[in-house]
Amino acid sequence: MHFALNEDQAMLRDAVADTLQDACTADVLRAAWTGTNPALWRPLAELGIFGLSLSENRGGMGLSEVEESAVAVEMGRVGFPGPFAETLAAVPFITHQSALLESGLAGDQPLAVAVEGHPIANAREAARVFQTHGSEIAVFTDPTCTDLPSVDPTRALCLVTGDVRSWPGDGQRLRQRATLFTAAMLVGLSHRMLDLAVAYAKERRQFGKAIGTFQAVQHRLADALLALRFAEAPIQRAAFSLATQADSADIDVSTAKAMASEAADTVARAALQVHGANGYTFEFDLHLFHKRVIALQRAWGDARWHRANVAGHLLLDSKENTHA
Amino acid sequence: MDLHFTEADEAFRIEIRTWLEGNLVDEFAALKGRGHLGDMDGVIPGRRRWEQRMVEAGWTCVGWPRAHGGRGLSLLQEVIFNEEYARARAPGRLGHIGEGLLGPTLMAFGTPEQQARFLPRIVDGTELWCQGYSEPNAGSDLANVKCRAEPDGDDYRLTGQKVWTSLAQDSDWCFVLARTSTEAKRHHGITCFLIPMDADGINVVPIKQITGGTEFCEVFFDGALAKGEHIIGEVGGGWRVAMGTLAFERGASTLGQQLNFQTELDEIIQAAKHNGTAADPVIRQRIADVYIRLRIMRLNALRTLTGHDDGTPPRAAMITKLYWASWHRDLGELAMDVLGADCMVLPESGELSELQRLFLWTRSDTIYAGTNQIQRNIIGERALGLPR
Repeated sequence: MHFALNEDQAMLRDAVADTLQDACTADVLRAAWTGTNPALWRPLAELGIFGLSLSENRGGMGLSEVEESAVAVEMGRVGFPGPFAETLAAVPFITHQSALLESGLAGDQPLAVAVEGHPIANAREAARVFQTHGSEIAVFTDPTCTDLPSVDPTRALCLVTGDVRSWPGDGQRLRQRATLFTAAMLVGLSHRMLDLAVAYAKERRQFGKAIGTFQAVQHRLADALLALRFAEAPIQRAAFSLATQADSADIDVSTAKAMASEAADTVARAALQVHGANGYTFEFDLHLFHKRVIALQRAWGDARWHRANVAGHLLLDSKENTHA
Repeated sequence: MDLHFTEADEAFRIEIRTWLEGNLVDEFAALKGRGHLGDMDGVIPGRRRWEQRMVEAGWTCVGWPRAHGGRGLSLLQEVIFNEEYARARAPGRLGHIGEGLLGPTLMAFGTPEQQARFLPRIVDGTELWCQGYSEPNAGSDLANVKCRAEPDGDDYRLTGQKVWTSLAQDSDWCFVLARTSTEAKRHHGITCFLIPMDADGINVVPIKQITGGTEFCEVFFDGALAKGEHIIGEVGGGWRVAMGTLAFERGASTLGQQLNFQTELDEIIQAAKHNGTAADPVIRQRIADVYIRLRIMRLNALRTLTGHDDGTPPRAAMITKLYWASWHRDLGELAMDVLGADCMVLPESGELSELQRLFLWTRSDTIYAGTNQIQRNIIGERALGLPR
């Protein structure tokens, strides 16, 4: 039993974090609101992150969801724009098309995927647009995208119509991977928002003192930290379960997403409240991350959906969620 | 990252499971599920005999070093032991205060003579312990203890009152914080004494709780004699000792409790299936929520152990009390909502049903061993580094 990243895994995570810290600042995020920036994707692709779980003879690193989800936490921490979780989830499903795979591994073009009938993020710019339906995967052969205005402009939404054909691979697994990586990004986003709030509480003064000295503020932030800390272990558990094809994988993925969605909500609310009116301004950075949370909290199933999924497993019936 | 247990750990799990199955029979079968939270004062004579059965097989103080009579188990194996103990629904341990709190405190702060005198009798179950820390005006503000210790030759006479003392009426010894100086700053005037509960001048008055049980007591000291040789640490050094004990209280001893909680949740799920509320979408959401959070508590416990293979108690425990206390409070409320109107009615026996007692007991979780508010203060200051 070793419930932590080992040395190599931690080094990989730190390398990604270092790259992101310089490449994906808040200014870059604001600029990305006018479109995905491929210059952001390529340095990450050079670290090999889109091929983490591919075998080495396919140009990958022969690793697993454990490393992928650790990377996704770091992507969330900087609010990485675009369909990162979806692309990371889908790359192992395109290995039979070498040109497509090459472009995916190089970070040239993202991949778009959603559960059938849901809006699809960043479909317009994607190399392929997929949808999952239970254990099936389908690809749009000639997608027609109808734009939907998105609260988070770095996550452009479309309704996609057109003919589809079947695509090889397990749709359930693709959905679980995208769900897990989205949950991991929410954990990273929560870290960022909490850091902003704690820094603000130490700096902002009222009544002649830092507001972080007040118990009402401290307790709010303590609850936020608690929610975040208890959302971390389930990410690693779900990653390990997917990597080892454990029986509990579906419950573990739903646990991770339910807790990450709730933690991000708790942290976002606390962070906004602690920032006071400043948190409500466009100028402060908080909303850049808050808006991603609003989107990712509900992408790939919100907390309620995943609790219902767990209830179905637990109560040994399947009243809920037959559509996935 | 590897979340599998080793073969040695799995073999250990089978060993303790097999022993419990083979021994929780005959007179001990009736003890299953008894003596836990809300029922800690229940079936004491039977549980004393059960302790002796555990002693004979070497299952007490399993996490203690071999040099002190323990099994020297790793923290992970200690957790496995606690999990299997809970899974078997074995009765609440009578010796847990000595084993989990006083023993580790003595190992950290006691003299070799004190260790030789007291530790073997915790291992062999012949001396039960209670903890005399809280007072009517020293709860969250523990440093405000007023119980006085006046010198009497080499020894001391204790005068004052302790409260919320678990199992005081059944204990042989008590470890007590008392004030040896009113001159020194308040943290520096406190000393930790060991005192036999049959000393003259000790009066124990059980407190009746909202569950109807009497798990804890008031303890009155009126010039009771505590020997100078039984002071733990320095005279005036009791605060450091007390902080050490509280770290044990919030540390490894709670890491295996998830399976006790699982047993309670299973009972609620059974009740929900039985009365049909398992089909109610709101109840389903809440059952899933407590189930998810319980799984996470176990994950966090296991994660906390990584990096603590040397036996030091994990510090992340400071954040877990707030989590499990709030979770258990919510579980009690879920139990009542599953029962619906039936929760108002006592069973024919006139005693609380298990779920009713669970609800009432869980009103205390967010208060004892540091209230939720105190826990949030600690998290704010130590984990988030917020200014004082």
